[in-house]
Amino acid sequence: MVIKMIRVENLWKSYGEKKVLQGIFFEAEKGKISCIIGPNGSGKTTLLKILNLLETPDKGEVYYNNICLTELNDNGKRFYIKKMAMVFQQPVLYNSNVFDNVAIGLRIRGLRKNEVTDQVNDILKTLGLYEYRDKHAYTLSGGEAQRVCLARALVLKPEILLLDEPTSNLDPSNTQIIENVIKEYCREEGPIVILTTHNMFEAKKLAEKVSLLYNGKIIEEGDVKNFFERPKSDITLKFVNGEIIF
Amino acid sequence: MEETFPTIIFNDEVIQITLLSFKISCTAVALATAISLPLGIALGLKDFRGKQFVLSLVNTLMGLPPVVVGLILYLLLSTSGPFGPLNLLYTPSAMILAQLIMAVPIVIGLSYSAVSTIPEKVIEQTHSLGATKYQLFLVVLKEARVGILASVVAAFGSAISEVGAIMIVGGNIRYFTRTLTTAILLYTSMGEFDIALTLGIILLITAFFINIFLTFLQSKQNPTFRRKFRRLKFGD
Repeated sequence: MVIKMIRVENLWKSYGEKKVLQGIFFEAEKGKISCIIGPNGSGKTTLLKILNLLETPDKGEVYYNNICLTELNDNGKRFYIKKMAMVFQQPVLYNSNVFDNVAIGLRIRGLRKNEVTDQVNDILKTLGLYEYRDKHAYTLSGGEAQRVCLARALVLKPEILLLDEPTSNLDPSNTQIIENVIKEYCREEGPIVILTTHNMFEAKKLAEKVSLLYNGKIIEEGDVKNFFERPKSDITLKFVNGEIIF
Repeated sequence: MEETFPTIIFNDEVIQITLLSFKISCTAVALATAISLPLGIALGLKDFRGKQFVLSLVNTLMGLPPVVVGLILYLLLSTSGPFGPLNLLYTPSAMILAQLIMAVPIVIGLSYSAVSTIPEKVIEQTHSLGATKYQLFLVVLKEARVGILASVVAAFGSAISEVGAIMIVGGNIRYFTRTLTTAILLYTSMGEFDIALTLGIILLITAFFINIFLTFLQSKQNPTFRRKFRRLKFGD
């Protein structure tokens, strides 16, 4: 049986003079939470945006089940974008109520009204947001807003879930809710989950595989136990010991 | 002149003038919106070479002098002009055309501004959900709805109060091309200030209701504004 996976090969990306990604090789498997850990500015967000086909790499390819996504035309890319969902670091909210904010992806996919209502109500209940469904999204707290963004992603039942530091700047209670829902979703649906963070505790708690991204390069990767307990690289060791301040 | 305000306002001619003014301005603004909204939104979303020049041009055209528009249109539509055979001069159609020309840059410019205020992240999120270009257009339309409505209302306000261009191409013909503004001009020059004032009051009331409508829309669609508006209303 072929294991579903997303893979990037020799990925390069620059913004002007700044080299953000420098020859990245990375893969993530279905049913596992893969964590990309690294300091701010190491290229985590850019990598996720390239995986989500929102950015085009200067060089290199993205493969999903051995299909090269970066070579597809706009319609082809859109087909695969619809198999993914991304949660951004800063909550992105539309100027409407919570229900509409969560429903937008389903509406873009052309689902019928009653299907949209049922699926959105279910996910709102899962994330403890049902009582806010008619509340305007701009009136939510930071934690509630990020839960809305996670609901918007999960309601699509994506094959690939991309999470860009979803719990940074959140209080422990909201962090706990989000982490539990991610774990539960991964257990039930078995998608490919790629999570970026600079929080070691979160990586230890959620991930099965960890990769350290530093200055646009993957320094080291491995299963969570080996990565944190037996790091091979000096940079990883410094990171694990908290000597690299993020 | 012994006529009182209610007598004048319910005068057949005044009613006809008011209705014609609204018909011309509504048609011109509806056409301008249909033409300009996609352009304003595209301008807000796309980056291209020469965008700054296009924006400068739009901003300049927003302040287009009505008499100049009227003059150029007159030359184009007059019998010896290239569009003379269409026989549009001194018709409501020519007046619609004049107002349309002036409304287009207003709707483009203000809807561009409205779209520019949408955070880049919202556009990125919409792409990330797999939206087509048309779906993105609808999302942008919804996100910038208050600003876009403001652009339409502003265009209407400008159109209904415009006098120079429509005077030149419409000719102020009684029961045919006479509007509120051209009638005010005429009655003022004739010394019939009571009718001129009545027509002026109708124009002012129109402007007042346009602003009430706009404020209502803003309060309805922006929760922060709505809270402030409520506090203002109840004085707490």
